[in-house]
Formats: sequence, structure tokens, C-alpha cells
Amino acid sequence: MLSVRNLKFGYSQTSFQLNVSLFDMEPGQHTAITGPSGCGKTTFLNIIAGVIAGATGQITFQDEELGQATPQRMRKFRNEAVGFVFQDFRLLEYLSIRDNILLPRTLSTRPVNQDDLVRANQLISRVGLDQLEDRHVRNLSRGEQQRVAVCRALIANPALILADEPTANLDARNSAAVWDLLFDEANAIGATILAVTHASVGLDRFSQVIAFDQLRNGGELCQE
Amino acid sequence: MSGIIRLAFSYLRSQWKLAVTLVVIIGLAIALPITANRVVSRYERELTARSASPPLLVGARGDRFDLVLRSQFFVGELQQSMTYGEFASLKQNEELVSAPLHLVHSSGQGAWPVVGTTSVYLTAQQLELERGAVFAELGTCVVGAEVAEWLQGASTLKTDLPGTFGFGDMIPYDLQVVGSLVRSNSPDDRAVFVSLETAWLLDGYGHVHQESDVGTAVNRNSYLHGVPGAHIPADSEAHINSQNRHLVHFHGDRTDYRISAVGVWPVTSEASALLKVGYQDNRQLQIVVPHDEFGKLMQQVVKVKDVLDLVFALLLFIAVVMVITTTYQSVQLRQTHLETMRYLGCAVSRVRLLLITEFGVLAGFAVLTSILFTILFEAIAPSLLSLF
Repeated sequence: MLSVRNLKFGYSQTSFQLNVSLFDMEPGQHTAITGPSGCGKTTFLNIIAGVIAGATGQITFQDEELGQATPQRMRKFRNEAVGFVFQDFRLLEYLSIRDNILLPRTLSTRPVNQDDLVRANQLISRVGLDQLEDRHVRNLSRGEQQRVAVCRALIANPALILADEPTANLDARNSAAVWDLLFDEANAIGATILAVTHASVGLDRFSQVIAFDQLRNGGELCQE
Repeated sequence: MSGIIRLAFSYLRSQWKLAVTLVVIIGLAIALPITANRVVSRYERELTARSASPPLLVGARGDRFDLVLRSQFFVGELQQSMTYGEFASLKQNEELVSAPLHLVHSSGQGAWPVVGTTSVYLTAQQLELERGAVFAELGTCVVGAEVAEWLQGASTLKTDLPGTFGFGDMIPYDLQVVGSLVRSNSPDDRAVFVSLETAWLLDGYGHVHQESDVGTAVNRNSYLHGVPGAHIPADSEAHINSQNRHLVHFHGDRTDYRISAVGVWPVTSEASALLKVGYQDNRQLQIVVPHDEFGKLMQQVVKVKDVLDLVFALLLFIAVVMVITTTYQSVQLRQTHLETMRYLGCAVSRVRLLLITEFGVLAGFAVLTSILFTILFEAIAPSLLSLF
């Protein structure tokens, strides 16, 4: 489903070098990336999503070579095939819960349709915010905000969910709730999760855990 | 597109204080110069239209502009006066249509000027009667359209006390309203027209004769407004009617009675030129062309407007700088939002469309606000800037 070969990337201002010679994910296989800060976990996610350009090597998603894709194609890829969950939620605080969840659809070139609204309502019900759908997200607790952010990532029924330390700012109870939501919904729609996490708790939920530790010192990742 | 508009409105609603400030500032920056231009244009139109009739004014030497302002717009104070005798000699010229203007008294606590004149004035100014008749008899008046509205059908109108305290002055008269004029959208709408005799009655040159027509006031005012023997009686009758009208008598020589000015409509341009020449060396009287005097006034108004235009340009510059700075800061502060949109697959063109929509909504409200401000200012400005 997702295949990375001989990926090399470096920032011009630093000596940091990301080397991933072999990385594969099968459909429905949930993968956790662990490792210390600065080892390139988030950079890896951003390169896969096409947000960071300039990497060499091959990234193939569902038999499509993303390295050859145009910027327009990559935007469509992010909008329709990828769901993003961020550490700091990145909700638009001036929008309601429903509008935040529908944001990827609102920002796409096609108008929001009935299916989108039905899906949004399903997700709102799933996180128990039925009565609060028109409330501004700034009025929600952090746990609720991250659950809304997960719903936003799921609105397009993506094939791939990229989660960058989604529970880093949450307590244990809320962390568990977010992981539950993410895994349940991903399994329901057959999505694959690629998550960066610092936490050792909950790693048993993932099909595979890949440590990026050796990349920090200029090493190379080669998935066995 | 509707989604983008929804997002734009949501953002602006969340920043409503800033948005309202920007809208008001832009609205003011647009409305103020527009209002100033329109008001000055209207002011100029009013002055030009009014200054055409009468084309010439004769009055006592003194401030030329006061003479014009008082005689044409019935505002300001005209200290100097001329005599009826001087008007009488002017009246003999058959190539001139002339009407006396006695502009000393008022009614409605100064709101309605009482204009002593003859029916020639009404004819020359093309003022038509809406109802009733002209002020043929002593103690009667014809009112302008605004005064008629204010009177709401009342049949009498009380004149104001001439002085602040009124001691030793004539007591206010009740003028009988015998007619009202068709609206002319000119200062005549708020004037009360009376005959010269009635105006002189208000001066105190004449009064209703009574047996008790003696008293302390006689001695004190025995030389009233330059007329020997004129006096204010101790017990004055303030209402002239058919029972006492025949009892009214005047003191002194009528040719010595004062009037404020004479409006002159020359029949020919030669008559106009000759009249101007005739008053060139007159030490007591002067002749003025109202149009020229208002031309001088407009030059001053235009100078003031130039300064205002500079202030408005500065305001506009400040508004533009503020809009640019605010927009730039807003984009900077929303970098995370814009980056998130990029992560969610939003095209740069959509982000631009969103920002342009927000700007467009603000601009739309600013234009609406400027229209509202313009209407508001124009509703207020006439009372501040118009002469009538």
C-alpha cells in the first residue's frame, strides 16, 4: 500500500539527514514510529504527505509514484486519501465543531454534499458531541478538541491516516479515548494508520513499531 | 464558493471588533470627502441661486457682506440702516423695480424673521400665495411655508421682544396671519412678511392712540430712532384689529423712518449701470451686487475645503496603511491556520480566494457604512452649513 525506497532528505541549514532505504506498509496495517526528538519522524510523515518537497527516492502509494505527482495531484491526495491528526490539534477556533470537521470538504473544489453532512453527523455522534455540534471548538476541553480533530481526519474516509503524536498533549484517559476512536474508525473504513508517538503506552495496538533511533546520528532505516 | 464565504464570515465574526473598526475608518475615509464635496456644491448652488434675486441691494454704508447676508438670507445682524425717504427717491426711477426691506424684528424666539416690505417684493421674488391674501392692513402678516407648518393653522403670531429684557421697548404684537406662501425652498419659507407700516409699528413709530398716551416712557423715548416726537406709550395695545386699527397714529416725518435695505431689480442693464454709478460717491449709502459678494465668500469656502481635502487625504492614507498593516498582521497570525489548510489539501488559490472574500466582505460593509455616513452627514450638515 505504502512503499518507500531509498528516501534521502536533508535540511540545508542543518547536518540532519533522513535515510530510509526500505519502508513498507500493507493495507490496514497500523504502524507506529518511535524515537527521540529530532530523529526525523515528523519529517518522514510530511515527506509522505508531500508537504515537504526535495526528497529523493521512491514513495509509492497504492501503486502510484508520489514523487512524480504534480502539486495539484498531491493536494488531491492529501485532501481525499490522507487524514492528518496533529499534536496541537490545529483546529480553527473560530469555527463550530461541525464546520471544523467539514473543513477538508469545504476547502476542496467540490461543494459539501449530503454524504459529507451525514458522515459528519455520524462522527459527531461517535464522539458524543451531538448536542454541541454548533458550539465553537474553543469552548471544548483539550480531549474533546483532539477528538474533533480526529473526526476531521476521518471525514473523507481516507485510506491513510497520518498522526503526529496525537496524544502528546493529553492525559491518560483522553489519550486512550483518542486512540480508541482512531483505531475503531480506521478499522471500520479500512484505513491504515501511520503514527508518530513518544509514548510507550498503547504501542501494543499497532501492527508494527518502527524505531527511528538510529537515524538521529546519520544512520539508515531499513525495515526488516 | 458558499463554503469559502461561510469561512470568511466566521473569521470576521470572530474578529468583529477589529472588523468594525476597519469598516468605520474606511467608511469615514470615503464618506467625509464625498459629503464635504456635496455640501460645498449645494452651498454654492444655494448662494448662487439666491444671490441672483434681487440682483442689486442698496443700504447704508458699512459691512457689505452683512448687508447682503441680512437682506438675502435674513440672517446675521445689520447695524446700519437707511431712511424711507432714501427709498422713496429710488422708487421714483421707473427703470427700477425696488422693494424696501425692514429687517429688525423676529418671531418665534428669533426663528422666524419679520420682514417689513411691500407686495412688490413678493412679485419680484415670484412668491405665490398658497392661501389667503397679502398683508394689506396694519397688524397683518403673510407667512412662509415653514412658518405656516409650524403655526399649524393658528391665526396669530406673536413678535419677539426687541431687547433682552424689554424694558422701555414696545411690547410684542400679535400679528394676524392673513395668508401663507407656496414653498420656494428659499429663506422666504421661514420669513414673516408684513407691511412697512406694521414694521414701523413694531419699531414704536406708531401705536394705537389712547387717552393715557402719556407717561414716563414719553420723556425717555421722545426721540425714537431719529424721529422727534415718537415714543412708546405707557399703556400699549398689542393687538391691532378692526376695532382699533383706525386709532393707530404715527409720530414724526415718515421719510425719516428707518428701513434696513432696498432690493433693486433693474429693468435694463443700462439702468443697473447708471444706478451703480449714482451711488459711487454717496457717503451715506452703498450699492452692492450680492452675486459678487457671495463669490468672495465662496473663495473662502473653497480655501477651507482645500484644507479639509488635505485632512481627508491624510485620513484616507491612514486608513489604507491601517488596512494593509492589519491584513498583513492577520495573515501572519493565521499562519498556522493557513498551514493547516495546506495540510488538508487546500490549494493556494483557495486560500487566496478566502482572503480576498474576507477583504471583499469588509470592503462591502465599508461601502455600505460610507453610504450611511454620507446620508447621516448630509442630514446634519445643512443645519451646520446652509444659510437657510
